[in-house]
Amino acid sequence: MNTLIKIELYKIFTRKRSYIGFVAVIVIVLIAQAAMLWEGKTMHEFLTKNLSEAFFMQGNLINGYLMTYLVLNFLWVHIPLLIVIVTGDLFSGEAHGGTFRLILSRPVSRFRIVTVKFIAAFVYTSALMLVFAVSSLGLGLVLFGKGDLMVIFKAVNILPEHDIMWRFILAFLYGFLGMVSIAALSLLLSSMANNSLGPILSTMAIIILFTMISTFDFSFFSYIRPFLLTSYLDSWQLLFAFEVNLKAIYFDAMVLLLHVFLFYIITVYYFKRKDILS
Amino acid sequence: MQAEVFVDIKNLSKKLKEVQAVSQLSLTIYKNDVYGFLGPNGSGKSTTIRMLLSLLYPDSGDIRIFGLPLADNRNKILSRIGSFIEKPDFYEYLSAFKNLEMLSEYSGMKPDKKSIYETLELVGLKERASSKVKTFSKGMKQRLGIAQALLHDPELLILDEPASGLDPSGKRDIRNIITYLNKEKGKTIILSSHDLQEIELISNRMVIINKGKKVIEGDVQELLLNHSYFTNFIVDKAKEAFELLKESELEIDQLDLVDNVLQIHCKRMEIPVINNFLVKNNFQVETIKVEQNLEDYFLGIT
Repeated sequence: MNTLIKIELYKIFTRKRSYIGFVAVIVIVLIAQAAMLWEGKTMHEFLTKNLSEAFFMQGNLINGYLMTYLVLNFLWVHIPLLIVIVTGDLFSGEAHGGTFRLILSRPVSRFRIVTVKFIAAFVYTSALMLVFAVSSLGLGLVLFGKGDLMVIFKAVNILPEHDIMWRFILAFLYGFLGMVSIAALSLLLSSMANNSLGPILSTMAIIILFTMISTFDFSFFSYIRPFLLTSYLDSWQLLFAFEVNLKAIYFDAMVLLLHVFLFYIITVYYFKRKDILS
Repeated sequence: MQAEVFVDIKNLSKKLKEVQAVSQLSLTIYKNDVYGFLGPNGSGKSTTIRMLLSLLYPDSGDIRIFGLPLADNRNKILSRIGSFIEKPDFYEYLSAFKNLEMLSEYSGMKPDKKSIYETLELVGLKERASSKVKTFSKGMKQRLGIAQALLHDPELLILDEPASGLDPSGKRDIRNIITYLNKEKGKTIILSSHDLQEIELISNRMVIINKGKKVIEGDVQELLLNHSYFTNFIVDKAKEAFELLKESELEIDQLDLVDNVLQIHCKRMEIPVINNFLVKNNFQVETIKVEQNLEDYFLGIT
């Protein structure tokens, strides 16, 4: 199994397209931080205008932590897109390129092929998330320094500097889990397709559609919202409440894990029975 | 003594998108055969081959390879088979060597540099081992396709149209490699093709399938010798030769004279007899051209 995982990772990391994500993450973070460096103070004053009339604000509120918190919002659409560019191609790319014929006519089980592709996709996702975390948090702290974190999430929370880092570590871990669930969805769709574009676009379409349903406040949607993957992607925000409800976060994380497991099982079931016609 | 049965297919059927691609097909392939698997495009050759490699699952029927049922012994069987299916697709962004190294790992082997280079040398690609596959010509990819099939020294080789799209010299190279593998290395080979001449040159047994069904199976020489060939004889004094042949008692199925060319339908064994007859009667035989393709053969036997 280890050899097969190494091969799969080798295949991913010898392709140029696999590095698009890393470059894009760094560029996104750089652009966001440059913009904040340029006009962050004006924007912050505008956003907190009402608050500053009622409260006396002191200290470095535009700091690396705030920057990282803002950048975490790219987990909605931007980072998923960068991940599925690679993971959505893992099965369909082999089908399209005809290389499934080469490997599936060898004495290696389809269960193993699916498993190593899932593992390789998770490794890629973790590498991308690591770059995302290090570039946003590291660069944010270098450019903007430390300070208390002011977050407007259901209420205005001002988190003291010494009480922030653990929240970011858990937020990135939760974000990683969310991205893994999206990667798993794209792998499932990829296993059913014979071209690369289909699963990438379908995954993004599902994420955008589900996100819209998850965020629109219509009562009709409230019935289906608990069943949507995207309803659990933003639970990292709960980590920035003044009093963190770890139980709720744990539950949401388990739901994401369940999605990953389900996508994996369906992929194994489908792929083991699939006729290789490409 | 009857040779060992390597592949035994019984009543195999497969439907693809509402089309009956293979229907009640039964075949037997013996050890050391070069088994020609003939049929026009869309006849069900590739579908059958894919089922032998468990890329497709049969709707019904039984496949036994090396005496074992394929459904229950997939990995055991596939470790003894090398295959090349339809067109040579590789990881184009990797080198020929790296492709083979990876594929040998998929076969459960530890990659052995020496044997990979030897395999590349056998197919004449050793010098290009480190070149990326995307820089290869079609012929080179075909040869690399054969190399990957040989990597794990399989007993049975399944080659699906290995010479497809190649020029005559490329076809000859592939033919030579196949003959070498059968005669010198003792490999049993299933060779799928729609080119009757190619099969005739290298196979000892063959089957012809059409619309997923077996049309005929047997010894190549027996099947082809007894079949009527269409042959062009270019001779001087063609009209006189035509008249003479018409009056002769030679076994000719049909005789025509078209544009000073004698068009003769006869059994293969009669061709040298006709040639001798013409020479003895002082005609100069300039050219004998046997025109035989799968379509003609089909027409002859159906």
